[in-house]
Amino acid sequence: MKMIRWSGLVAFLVIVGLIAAFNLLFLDGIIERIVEDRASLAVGARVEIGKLRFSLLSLNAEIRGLEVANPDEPMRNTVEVGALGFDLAALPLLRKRIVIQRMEVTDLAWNTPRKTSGVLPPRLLRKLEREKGPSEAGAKAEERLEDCVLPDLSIIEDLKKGVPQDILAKVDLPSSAFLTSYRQNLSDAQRSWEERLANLPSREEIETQVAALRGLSGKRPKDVTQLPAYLNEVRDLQQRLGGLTRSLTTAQGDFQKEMAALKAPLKGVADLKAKDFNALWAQLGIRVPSAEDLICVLLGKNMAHKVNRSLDWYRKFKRFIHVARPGGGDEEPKAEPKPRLKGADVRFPVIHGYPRFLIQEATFSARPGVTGGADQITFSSLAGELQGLTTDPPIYGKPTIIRLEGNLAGRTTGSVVLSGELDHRRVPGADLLNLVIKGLRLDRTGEQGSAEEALRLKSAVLNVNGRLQVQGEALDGQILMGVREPRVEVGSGASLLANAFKNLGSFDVTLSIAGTLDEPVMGLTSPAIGGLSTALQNTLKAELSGTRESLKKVIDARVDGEVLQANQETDRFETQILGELSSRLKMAAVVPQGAQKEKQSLEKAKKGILPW
Amino acid sequence: MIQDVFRLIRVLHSDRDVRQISLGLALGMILGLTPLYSLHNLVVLLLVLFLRVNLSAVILSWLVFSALAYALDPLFHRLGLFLLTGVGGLQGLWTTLYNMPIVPYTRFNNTILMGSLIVSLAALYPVYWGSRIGIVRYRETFIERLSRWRVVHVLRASTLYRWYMRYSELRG
Repeated sequence: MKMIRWSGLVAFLVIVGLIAAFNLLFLDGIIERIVEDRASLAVGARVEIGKLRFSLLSLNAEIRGLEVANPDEPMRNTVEVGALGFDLAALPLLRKRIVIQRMEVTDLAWNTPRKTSGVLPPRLLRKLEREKGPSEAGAKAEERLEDCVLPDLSIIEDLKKGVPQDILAKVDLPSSAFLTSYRQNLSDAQRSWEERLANLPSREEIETQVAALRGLSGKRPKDVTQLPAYLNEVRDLQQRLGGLTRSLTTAQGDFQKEMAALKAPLKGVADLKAKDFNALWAQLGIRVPSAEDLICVLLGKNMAHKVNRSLDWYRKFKRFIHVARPGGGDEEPKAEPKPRLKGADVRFPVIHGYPRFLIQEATFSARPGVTGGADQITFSSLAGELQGLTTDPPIYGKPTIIRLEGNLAGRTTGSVVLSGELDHRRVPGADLLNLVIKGLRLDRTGEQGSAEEALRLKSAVLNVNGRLQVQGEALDGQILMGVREPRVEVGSGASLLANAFKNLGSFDVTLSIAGTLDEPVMGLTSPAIGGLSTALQNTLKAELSGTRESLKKVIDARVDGEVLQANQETDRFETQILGELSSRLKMAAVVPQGAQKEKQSLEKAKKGILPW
Repeated sequence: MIQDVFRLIRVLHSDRDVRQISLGLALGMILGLTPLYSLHNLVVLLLVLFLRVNLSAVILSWLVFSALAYALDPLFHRLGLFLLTGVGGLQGLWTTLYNMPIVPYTRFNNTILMGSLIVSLAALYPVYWGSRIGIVRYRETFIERLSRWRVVHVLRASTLYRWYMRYSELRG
């Protein structure tokens, strides 16, 4: 039997032809979808292509209307590209390597508004979550400087306007708690001493005993034989009275000790006043901003934000750089996450030939005069080039060179130069980026600041000289910003600070960048801090001194009055209890004297010298 | 699919070459077990069409093994991952293949593709021989036994069967 079916070969060719035709027919759409998905996953926000045209014969592609959404602001594009064209090298494609020999990017614009949200669709979000490595999940940009805010200064204004008594009524003061506790202790002491007085020998009891003793003088024995019994009776009565007196004396001593302990805290009235004042200040939440805070809010916050976002983008870019030596020595095969039924692609080292992805040369030009807001730089021209951007630098063997130059639009003849060299041929990679901006005019004159914005640099001419070096994961950089002709707008919430900025001249701000890519550390210094500190202290001193004094006076008066009242209540109680105890003791004290005389006469009688 | 089942039954009951059917089942297994959109499947398709294999057997086998592949997916992944990353001696081979022209388009570096392709290639010969022996035994014993069943006699005598046979003859 023949095993060959020649018609099958024709059928095979037809099927393969149909598949090829289908792919060619929809190739543009397929590539567009793949590029959009891959780029969106890389950026973390939607990347959309308006139109893509790919020519298989000439191996060139043209993309129009490329929009890269901002992951932090989904209704804005980070970058918008009017047109992007590139030529692919044919031979590397056979090895599944994408080598763009020449790329031309025109009509670049930044921070443009979007019509639809740039948030990733759920399908890609799920994929992104799966593909996120542990280090990326843990990566956190330094937020300290970015989060700096001025304390709420409106409270100082309110304080100045408010009546001290009303202000005091709204806060809990330590003196109130102390006096409440003191009164409670006093009340407890009153209750306890009333009970104790009831248990102590009463006036009636003492009177009875005294009367009994006195009555004995009328019952003197007629003869000596009755004398011992009489004396025993006198002794018993004396002992009973002595016992009553002792218990009263002990109670008197206890009371005096207790009262001394109770009244002792009242002596620290001065402390109480100071505590009240400190507590009031703390509860009012008055925090005086430092000059560092002011500089941070004015400029540092924005600078830190921009650096953090740039580091975010750098981290995203770095994910695609594979460092391996030709020969595959130090790159381990790496499996990507495995979705069900799709498996994971294991990446092997590229040992020769072409890198997996390479842009040999690219030129850029920006859309002239485009700006995305007052914070954005407006260019009258911007152009630059990029060389050797690749995923496998060791294979390519050259560093990536970037240079972008432009002129700023506006009244000043400013310029921008961004240059850098990214070298990942060896481990650790060494990247260096320089940014020089000269004469950037910042003008927000017509712009309405947000209500929460306490301080705003309304206009200035900025000169920026920045340098960032990334050695492996370690960051080392510095951005020096010279601020000329600054005009600072002080928000309604911080109008107190207006004086501090009234005479602010040109100043410099330095933002230092250190730490690692995952945990950057930024510090802000400025020579203006010293002058601002003095101005701020003077302003706040003048603003707050009257308020502080009047609050102190009210607190003093209030504490003094309440302490006086507490003293009076204590004195009344003390007088009452001591008076009662003294009175009982006095009653008991009369008798022993009489009884003593009685005893002496009885002694004489014993000796035969009876008085009667 | 039901039609393919009937066709296969008819082929089993006919005197067609056993090799055609068993080769169809074996090649259909590769199509079913491995991811369909892979370059190696073009070769399989070429073999299926160029060699005189039974297409019903290919389609049926493809469908059955596709269902099996879904269940065996984790196993394929693990096997593929082991072969691609766990065997030190193979790293040089994979790296060379990865850097060769055209070969990267086969997606050999995909764990499921590698795992399933290895399993299906290993099972190719056993499936071919197993099905060949099975079909011969089926024809020799089961058809003989089946034809003796009363229920088969009744069915064959029925009008419905006669109509079906006439329809089959007309279709050729």
